[in-house]
Amino acid sequence: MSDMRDGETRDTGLDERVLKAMRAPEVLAPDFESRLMAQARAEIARRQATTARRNWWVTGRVFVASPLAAFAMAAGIALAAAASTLVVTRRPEPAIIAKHDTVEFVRFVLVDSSARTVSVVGDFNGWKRDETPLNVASKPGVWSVSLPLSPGRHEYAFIVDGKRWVVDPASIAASDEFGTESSVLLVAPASIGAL
Amino acid sequence: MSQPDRELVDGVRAGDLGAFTALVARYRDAYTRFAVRMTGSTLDADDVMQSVWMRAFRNIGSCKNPDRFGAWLYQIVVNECRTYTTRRALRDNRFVDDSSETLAALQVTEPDVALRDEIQKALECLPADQREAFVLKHVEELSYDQIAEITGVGVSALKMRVSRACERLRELLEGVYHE
Repeated sequence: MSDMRDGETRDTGLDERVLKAMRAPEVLAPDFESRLMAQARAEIARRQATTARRNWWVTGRVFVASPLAAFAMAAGIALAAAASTLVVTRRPEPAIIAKHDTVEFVRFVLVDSSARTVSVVGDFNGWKRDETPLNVASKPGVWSVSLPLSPGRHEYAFIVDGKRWVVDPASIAASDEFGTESSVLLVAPASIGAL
Repeated sequence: MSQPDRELVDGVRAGDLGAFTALVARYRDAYTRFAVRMTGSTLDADDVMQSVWMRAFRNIGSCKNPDRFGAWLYQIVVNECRTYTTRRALRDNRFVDDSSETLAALQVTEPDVALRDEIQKALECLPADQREAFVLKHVEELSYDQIAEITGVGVSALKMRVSRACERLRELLEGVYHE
């Protein structure tokens, strides 16, 4: 299989069947676009929040107050400044708003070649068994779904064939007060900054 | 008639999410095959492509020639795949082991699936730079000039990488297609 196109050789010495398999099209998961748009919307919301905060500080404002009220305001501002200094001294964590503006996409994967349906239940979907089905991924028996989750601790489990409760073998487990085991997931806040 | 890339890129720059959606719809599947061949699985390619599109979204202002958005996006795809494979190489070969375990556990016997897995494993045996050059040349069927523009690597170096990749793949896949 040797031919010339654009003056460049296409001869690889490989079997045509191999090249054909290599060139077979690949398709992403059906929910690829919706997950991406959720990320883009979160990005826009974060930008808008940042711009709004910046604008609040740079926008000029006129305050009209009586001398007594002005004195009270000045005292209040001084107290607030002192209090915020104390807070900053005790808790040096910055950018807490960014944590709330941001979601992280987490991929849940379960390998079960005998399963006919798989769904994930957890605190993020109210433990509703039909809310979040997993799809068969690239290989038979490999089930997966990606979900936007807020930073923090989440508990979840898989439901196989609509009734079988399966704890994620790839995660740590926790028991509730009734002895039911579920899996635990810790979502770290997304890193923020230009790429 | 569909909107030209330039108009859509301008829309994204102005904060129009609809324009971004249109660009994604236009290029959504265009580079997926390359990402799958480079990462080794659709799941990993999915992660890479999510990252690619968010990087494009955040940095759309640096797309100097919006009429050639596709070529600009291709550079991001190549860079993201490089980053992914580099990070994976730093791990303890977990990817290859997991793949083998999964296949064994699933007892995949379909000939097409088995052939594709053999091919993918052979591709993963290549050094990343050779794999990248080979896939762009003989899977995506780009010219050396196009590959040089996307990768930033000179044509003669690319030809060498492709040649070595072909040689190694012939050795690795000899038993597969002479059965």
